[in-house]
Amino acid sequence: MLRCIMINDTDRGADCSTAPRKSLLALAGKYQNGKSTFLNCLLGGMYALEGDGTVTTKHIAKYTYGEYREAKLFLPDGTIQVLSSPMPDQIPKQEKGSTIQVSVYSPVLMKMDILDSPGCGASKTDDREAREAVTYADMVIYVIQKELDFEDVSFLKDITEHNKYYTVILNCLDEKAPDDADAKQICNAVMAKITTEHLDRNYLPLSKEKQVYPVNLLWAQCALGYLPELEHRRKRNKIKNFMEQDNITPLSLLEKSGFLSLRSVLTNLVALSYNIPSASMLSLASGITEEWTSELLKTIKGI
Amino acid sequence: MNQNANLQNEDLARRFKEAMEKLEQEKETMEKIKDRNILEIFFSSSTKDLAKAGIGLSEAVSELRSVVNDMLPLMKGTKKQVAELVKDLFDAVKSQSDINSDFRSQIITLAKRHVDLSIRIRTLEEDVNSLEDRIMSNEEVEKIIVDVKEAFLKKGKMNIDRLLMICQSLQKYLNGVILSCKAKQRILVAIKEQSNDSITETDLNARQAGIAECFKEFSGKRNQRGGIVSQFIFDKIPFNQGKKYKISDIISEIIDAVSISESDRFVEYRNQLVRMIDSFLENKIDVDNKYSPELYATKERLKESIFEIALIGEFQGGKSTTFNALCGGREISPRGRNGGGVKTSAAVITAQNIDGNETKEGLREWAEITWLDETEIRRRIFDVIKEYDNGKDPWLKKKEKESLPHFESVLNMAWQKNVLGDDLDLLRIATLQYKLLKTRMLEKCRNKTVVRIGEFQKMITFPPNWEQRWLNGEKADFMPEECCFAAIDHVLVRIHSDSLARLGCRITDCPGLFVSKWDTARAFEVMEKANAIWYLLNGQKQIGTADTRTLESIKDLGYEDKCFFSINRRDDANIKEILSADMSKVESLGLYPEQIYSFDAFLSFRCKQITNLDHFVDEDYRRLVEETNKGQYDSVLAEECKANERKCLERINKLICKHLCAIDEESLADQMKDSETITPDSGIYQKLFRLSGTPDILNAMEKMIISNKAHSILVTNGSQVCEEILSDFSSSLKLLEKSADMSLGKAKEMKEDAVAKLKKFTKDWGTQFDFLGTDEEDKITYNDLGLVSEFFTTKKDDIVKVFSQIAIRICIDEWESHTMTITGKAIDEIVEEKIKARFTTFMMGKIKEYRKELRNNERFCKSIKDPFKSRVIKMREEWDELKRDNALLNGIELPPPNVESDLRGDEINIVIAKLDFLPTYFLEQIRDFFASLLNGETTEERIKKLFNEKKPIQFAYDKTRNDETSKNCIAKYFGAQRRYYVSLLNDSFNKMNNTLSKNIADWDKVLSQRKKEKEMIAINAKNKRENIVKPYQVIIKKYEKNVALYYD
Repeated sequence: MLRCIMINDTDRGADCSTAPRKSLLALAGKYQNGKSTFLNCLLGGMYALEGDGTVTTKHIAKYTYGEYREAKLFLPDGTIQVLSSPMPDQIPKQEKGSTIQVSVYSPVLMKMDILDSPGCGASKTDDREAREAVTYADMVIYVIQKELDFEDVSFLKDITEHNKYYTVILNCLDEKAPDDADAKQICNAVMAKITTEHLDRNYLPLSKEKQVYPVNLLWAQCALGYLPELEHRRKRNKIKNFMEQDNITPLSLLEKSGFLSLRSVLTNLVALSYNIPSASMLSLASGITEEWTSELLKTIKGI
Repeated sequence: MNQNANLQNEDLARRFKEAMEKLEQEKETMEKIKDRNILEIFFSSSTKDLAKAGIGLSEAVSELRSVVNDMLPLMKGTKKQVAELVKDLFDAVKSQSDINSDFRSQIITLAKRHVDLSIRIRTLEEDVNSLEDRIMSNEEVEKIIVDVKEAFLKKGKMNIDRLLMICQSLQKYLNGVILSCKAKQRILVAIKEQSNDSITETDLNARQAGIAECFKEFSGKRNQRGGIVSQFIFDKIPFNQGKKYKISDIISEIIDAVSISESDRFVEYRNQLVRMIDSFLENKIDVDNKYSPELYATKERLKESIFEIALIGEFQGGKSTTFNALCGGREISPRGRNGGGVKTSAAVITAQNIDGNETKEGLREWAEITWLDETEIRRRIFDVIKEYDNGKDPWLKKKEKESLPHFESVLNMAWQKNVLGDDLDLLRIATLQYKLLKTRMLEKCRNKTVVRIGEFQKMITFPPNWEQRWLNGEKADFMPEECCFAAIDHVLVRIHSDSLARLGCRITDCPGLFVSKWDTARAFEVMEKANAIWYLLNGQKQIGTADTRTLESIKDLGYEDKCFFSINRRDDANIKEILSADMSKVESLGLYPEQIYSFDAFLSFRCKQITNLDHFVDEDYRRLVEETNKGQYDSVLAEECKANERKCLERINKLICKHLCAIDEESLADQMKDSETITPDSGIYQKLFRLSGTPDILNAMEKMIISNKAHSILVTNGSQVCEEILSDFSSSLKLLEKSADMSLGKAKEMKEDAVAKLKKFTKDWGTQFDFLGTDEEDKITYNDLGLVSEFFTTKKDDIVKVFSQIAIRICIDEWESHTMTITGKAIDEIVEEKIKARFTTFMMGKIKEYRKELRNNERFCKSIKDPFKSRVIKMREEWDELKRDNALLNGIELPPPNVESDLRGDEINIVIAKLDFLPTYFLEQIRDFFASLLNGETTEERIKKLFNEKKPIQFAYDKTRNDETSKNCIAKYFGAQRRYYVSLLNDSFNKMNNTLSKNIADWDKVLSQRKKEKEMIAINAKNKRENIVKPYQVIIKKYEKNVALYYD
């Protein structure tokens, strides 16, 4: 099943017993919370289909480093097919047990593989797949948009029970800036909930101040130029108006979005979960102090 | 001179005769067409002819009169025209300058006839009135649509003719006819389809005149909204001069204005009845005050009758915005900030419009807080903590168990434990409630029951940083004031809001779904009580599993008939796709809403805000400033807004503009930008409000709720009650009349006769009902048990089949979603929480259904209900016969025992609650089933196989069937129903006896008077009966007919 591509990457002929394995980062969260948007921002382009309110991600797809863009389908009987479209969600739902692997030429993927999974909370099948995806990952990023409800809590409980590291990021809606007081309030409430529900054992706070990390993915996507003009005209217009009103340049929008710092701390952190690099490397990531890095390392080693 | 006049007269007479002939010819065709509109046109032209002919040739006039009379039956709803016709005729004759004596006498005759005619017209009017209140049939609606379409399809540009034609055909159907909402909507759709072209400036004046002409009719009609129409015609069109104006807008505005809304109609009917009762009471003829209290109580009941809508939806799904929009754009229900994210409201809030100038404690608008009383709080704390009580001292008395020291020790114990999830939330609330009791804060709080709008919100909001502050467990530090919300049951907000007034309902904002078990349970409580459920879907994403669960419960509990679906349009999501995904999901769950209404909560909220600037309180200003000032509150800006309405308007406009741009309505946004010329009553806000889609939902809801409940309020509990009271009154008066001419000896004879007759009657009929049995409470008879086995035999296949299906579905679903995590330990959790919750709701819904079936159980009907019914009918016939013989009996009605009625209220619930044995049995079965599956292979087939082989449901069913307790439960139900019939009968007999002795006592009092006084009494009584009571009886009967005609 899934496990065959997660570990025995036979296609590339890599021998998993000797070669150092890259970390596997899984994206999880409710449907339409911005997992695919986050993935696209990380990879730097439009690689996964994004929804407009309806469920889009249908498959568990592993994004891995490759020289060129290509999607392959691994069938349960061991055969491999190259897909006609590199967008995995443009193909119909495959039979049970088949998985998709997408290779993309993106610097982020040199450090880790990323697993995009269907969002939970939409249907029972999707829920099951999302929960399954988590079991293969080394670390999970859980994307939320508002306070945790009981479905979120149950999912996080699952992650904790499987003893996976995880962190939560808050995708701010509309014109809410990540450093806004309201966003902070949600983050604090979420963190408190994680603590009181005893879900904090495997929690990796990405920063001391922002234990739940707020980020505005739409801003980031727009500022980075990945937001397609046609499909998302409304979204673009909204941001455009907002930028015009307050004289915001794309660069400062990117900064405001909080994405850059999130990306750097994340890439470093994921690498950490397998090969512990030097503390200095971590501190290169913006916004991270030496002190915090060593604390983080302690946490990870401690688990 | 005279010759001249005669010549003129002859000429005129000739012309008039010609006209009359034409009229006769037309009459024949008229009869075939029966078309009111053509009649009107015809009459107006013949009036003109007459006016020209003008002079009163008595022959011609009488001929005319007969023609008019002949035509009267045809002229449904056109009494005004007849009246005008006669008046015109009269005026025309009067205006003749050279009137000779002949003419003068003719004028007088004419005037006399005019009076004669007007009397006829009045009779006609009554007939017409009853016709006006009918609902259109579907065919008629279809016809309108065809007409309208045809009018539009006429070739050529949108010109004045087309407009007139549309207006005419609309007018034709709207005139005196109440359109159902559906019909209105369909007409609108038809119009909108065809009328995308706009009117240019050139023809404006002509057009304006044309429309005005066409709708002038409305202004004079009894329809109170006629005024609005004429205002619209003369005000709105000039306002739009030079701007593009869409026909569809005009028409929809006209339709809105012309048709009486459902709630207005209901209120009108209600007020009619209230007025009747009032005017009857004003006569003060009930000197002994025997009947007035009952009438008064009926009146009060009518006035209080109000419908309730429950607003349900995911937390942060735009629920509070919608609620606040209905409250006239006020910050009533605390909204999440800036898109939200943190749960806000903690209590159930209900809003109701204030009719008139009612005030309370000097407040023009207020909130009434219902506090939980201390015992209730103690009970709630006890419910939460009892499971943490290790049961150290099982002998503790109830009182001690609910004492503060005991609470403290158990709460301490509970906090030591590792409580999670919902239980944790409950524990927190219990802790706060304990705190309230301990600090005696509750006593202080409870004094505040009526508070200002703007003040109550902080009492029901979760304290800030709720989650964070609980990080230290029980040591969480909350000020006693912050804990208030834990002691509030609900809040009733009384405000002035046109939307609420229009709906004639109160609307309840429920706590958001899916946040916690507690909130969801509260929401379900509200749903049960409500007359309608407004289910708000999140417009940001399609329905997920959480909504699915709630919808399943709605279906299972049988609420689907009162459920309305709407989706809150959001600017950044693809509403079309979400809507179609949602629709198919909702349908796949077995709910088939006619429509999912899409609406824009933000827009309707803002539009309403504009029209209610004068109601703003500090809270409204604070939020407005925050939202337009990058989330920062600035007291200076708030003061500025407070002082200057214009500033407020500008700020709100800015928000609306931004929103309009986001939803691709730039052209509207451009109109808004010109904000200097815009005032709160500009038409643009009405237009935006319509754009928001809110009126459509309100219409549909209004129609549904009112048609469901109006009949029972107005007729069953209104006019029928009045009728009964009046007829009692009338018969007692009749008795007084009789007493005047009767000797004492004869009177005595009559009294004895009456008593004996009644005694015999009740005795005879009492034995006839012996089959019902007269056992004591709770005693189960053989008969009842027989019914039970009957019930089980007939229901078996159905129950087993339906429950098996649902059980299989639950098993598969639950099993599939837990394949990853299921362990031996998890089984209990799944069975206890998931299945139980789902299955129990389903079972409760099913049980409700079976409750109905129990009532209509074939054998029960055969052996008890039907014989009872037929005997009652026979008994009534006999009584009607009997009472004719004796005047004393004459006034006594056999109160109709309502056979169809069921046990009321708690009684039936207590009986039926015992029926929930079924879920418990099935639960056991499913638990076993899960345990067995754990050890084996798990496929859908296997699940099905297991169900077929082991037949757990049938097993449970058989077990239930043979179980003594459950048998007894149902038997008790039958027994209770039987006893209920007996009690109905006894009540009837008792009432008869009481009335008789009352009659005799009254009579004795009269008989003891002197003769002259007796005569006086008789005359008085006759007067009262004939001049006051009887007319009212007639009026009320007629009223009832009218109401029933409309609502049945």
